[in-house]
Amino acid sequence: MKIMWTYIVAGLTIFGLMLLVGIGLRASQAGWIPIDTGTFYSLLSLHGVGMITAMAIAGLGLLWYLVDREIHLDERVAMLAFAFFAIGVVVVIVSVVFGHYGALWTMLYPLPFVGTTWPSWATGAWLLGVAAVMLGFMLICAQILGAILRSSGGLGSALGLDYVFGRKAFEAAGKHPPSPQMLAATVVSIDGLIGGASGLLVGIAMIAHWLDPHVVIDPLWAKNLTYQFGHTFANLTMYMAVAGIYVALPICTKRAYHSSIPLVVAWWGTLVFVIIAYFHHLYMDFVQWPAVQYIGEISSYLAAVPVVVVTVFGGLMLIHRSGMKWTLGSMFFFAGMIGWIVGGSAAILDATIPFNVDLHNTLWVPAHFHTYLLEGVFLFILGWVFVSLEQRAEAASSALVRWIVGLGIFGGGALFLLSFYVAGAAGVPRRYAVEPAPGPFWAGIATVGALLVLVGVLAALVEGIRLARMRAVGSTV
Amino acid sequence: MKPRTFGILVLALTLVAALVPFLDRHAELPIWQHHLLHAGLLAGGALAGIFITARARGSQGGNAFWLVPALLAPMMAMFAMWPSAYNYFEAHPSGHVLEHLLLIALAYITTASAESYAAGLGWIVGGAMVFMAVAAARGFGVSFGNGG
Amino acid sequence: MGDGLLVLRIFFVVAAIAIAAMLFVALYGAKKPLPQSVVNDAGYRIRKLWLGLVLVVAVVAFALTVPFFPYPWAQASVGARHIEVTAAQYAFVMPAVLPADVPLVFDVTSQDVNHGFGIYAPDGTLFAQVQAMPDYINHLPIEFHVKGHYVVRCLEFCGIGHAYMHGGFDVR
Repeated sequence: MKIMWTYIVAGLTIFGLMLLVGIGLRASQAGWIPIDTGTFYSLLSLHGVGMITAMAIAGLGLLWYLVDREIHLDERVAMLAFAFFAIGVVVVIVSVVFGHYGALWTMLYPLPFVGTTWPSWATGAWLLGVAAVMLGFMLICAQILGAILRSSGGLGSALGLDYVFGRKAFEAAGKHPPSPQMLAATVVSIDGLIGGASGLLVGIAMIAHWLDPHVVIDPLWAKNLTYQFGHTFANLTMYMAVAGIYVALPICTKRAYHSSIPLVVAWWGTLVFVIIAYFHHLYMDFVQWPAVQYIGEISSYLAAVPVVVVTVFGGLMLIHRSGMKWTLGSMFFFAGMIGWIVGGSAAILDATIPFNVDLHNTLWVPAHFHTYLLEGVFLFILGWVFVSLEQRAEAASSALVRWIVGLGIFGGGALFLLSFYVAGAAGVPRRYAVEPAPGPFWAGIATVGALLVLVGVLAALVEGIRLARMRAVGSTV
Repeated sequence: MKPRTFGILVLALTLVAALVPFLDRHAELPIWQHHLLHAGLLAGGALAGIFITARARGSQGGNAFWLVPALLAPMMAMFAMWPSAYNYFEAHPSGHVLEHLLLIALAYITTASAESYAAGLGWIVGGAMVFMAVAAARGFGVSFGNGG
Repeated sequence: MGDGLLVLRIFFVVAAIAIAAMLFVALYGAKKPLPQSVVNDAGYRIRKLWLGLVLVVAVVAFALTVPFFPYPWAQASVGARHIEVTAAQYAFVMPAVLPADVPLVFDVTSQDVNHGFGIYAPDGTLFAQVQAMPDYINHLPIEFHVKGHYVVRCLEFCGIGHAYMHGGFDVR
């Protein structure tokens, strides 16, 4: 529990700070507050890497706890990984605040070295800071994966191969397939190590170039690795949080979520598609090997199948006519599934190559991943926190609190996201400190929406503290 | 053949392959082929690490802090593949052989540490390391371009 | 090409259906709980059909979109006139006037970092785009049928001047 809460509280704290930064950025694009261009990009760099790191830290805390419930994990390793995260976050903040680094978190080579307005050390500090975060992430992935390999006796049974191919003999032997949350942990840790390897490779190449400019790097190669790492890392935050659905929704609905053959096979799909779907980030690189453009589109489509046919469908089957009470916890999980589906639909439209021509690097892209992260991953994390607190205190929140939180986070969120989508569809580019019309108008709407989200988040914070301070009477999840 | 014997055999073969820089024509290799050669050495060291350390599947395994060298060693191996250091190494074959031995040692440490924590993990961590080394051939220290 | 609003409409319809369906499943009969086995029996039957539907939609959508891929190897561009475009922090170097109704191929590259070559039609919609990369030339086949002034904007973050990096050309 200690590790889980350390990670989740740290992640949510970073989230809160980055939310404030994000509101400032949108208000600046609306022309409501003055932020000079250099500062805008420094803050945008911080907001991007900070949010992804926040979601990853919170999600890893949850995942680590769920694995630890079934297989003992060494806490000291989780604390060492936490130290890597903390060092990385501090170094990144130094690079931005004191070094004014501003080449964003998906720094495409040779950007952070050419035409910069910040000192070279800031680029180096940024690269090393992100590398430290990656190391912490990979350390947790390796710890979880190793523990799973140990307890299951190999990768095949960890992935449920023996269960799917030979179910009768498997069940006759009295064996059980891996639990859904363990499948999630296996997939996250394998893909995390692969994405981490891509990130470290391009990161080391860039650190080498930083130390010794004679080291040339192929720009197309760097772009592939950067997105393979970036997409995988960002996408996996969802699958970490999803593990919470499998455990918390059965508590809310008083029903059981079992591993079935479709669920196991669905996770195999996720294992593969998370790694190769990144090709959709390079649709507009016409020099990219043609076959992978086709693979990018079809794998982006197929990545949706495990979600809509298994996990969310299964979640809805749990909720349907279960007599579930609407507490903050269950509300967050349900709304998170909606956000996941809506954000995923936007992603699939953008992953359709003829549409990507109209949407690539417009505000549609942040529209999609803000839906996915704010109304998906973040809500699953909050859902987990509140289900835990509600279980522990055997208490729930009043309808008034639920309405304030709901209107703020979902209503304000919808307004905030809508402005991204509409402006993106109108072709307003992303990452513009000063946007062409109709960008500024929609940035204003977005700012209002984001402020409402802030109100909802603050209400949830107050309510969370109230529940946490109540005497523990119930069982832990 | 016992896994351990096989591992020692692979290690011996890899060590012999590390002596390639003493061949005359070696210096003419382009960077990308060089990376592939290094990937081969890493694969050899990694396999040796796995088979020599191999423990029974499903066994309790060792201390989780073995993961620290298992993750740091591949990073150091990528740094050791630093392309612009080649000029020096091309002029000094014995230095180059030392670099190759370092790569093999790092690969061995990677998988041996991972296997010490959990049986089977060496294949994944080692696989990721060899993937990095092979991928490096496409753009680390070299740019292909299409004439732009 | 210039289909941003169409995508937005499709998205609204899909999102509305998804939200409505999920709310319906969660709220319908919520006051009268059923045993899980009863819900599962029906749910697993629906899931088989649903899986089939999703797969068919995915494959059909893929097949339908392939003819519209913007790549040079997917679009006939034999005998087209080649136009050189060079991006650099923070401007595009390219001809100021281009012909209408003639097949063209933009040969797009960059002198420094990654840029995006985004073409906005006279009505303001994003019409076509391709990345501008150092060391590489991207070939963008295109044909203009509408005359007027086209604005070019950078569509890949390229540094502090990114938002101010634009150019343009007239199609006559």
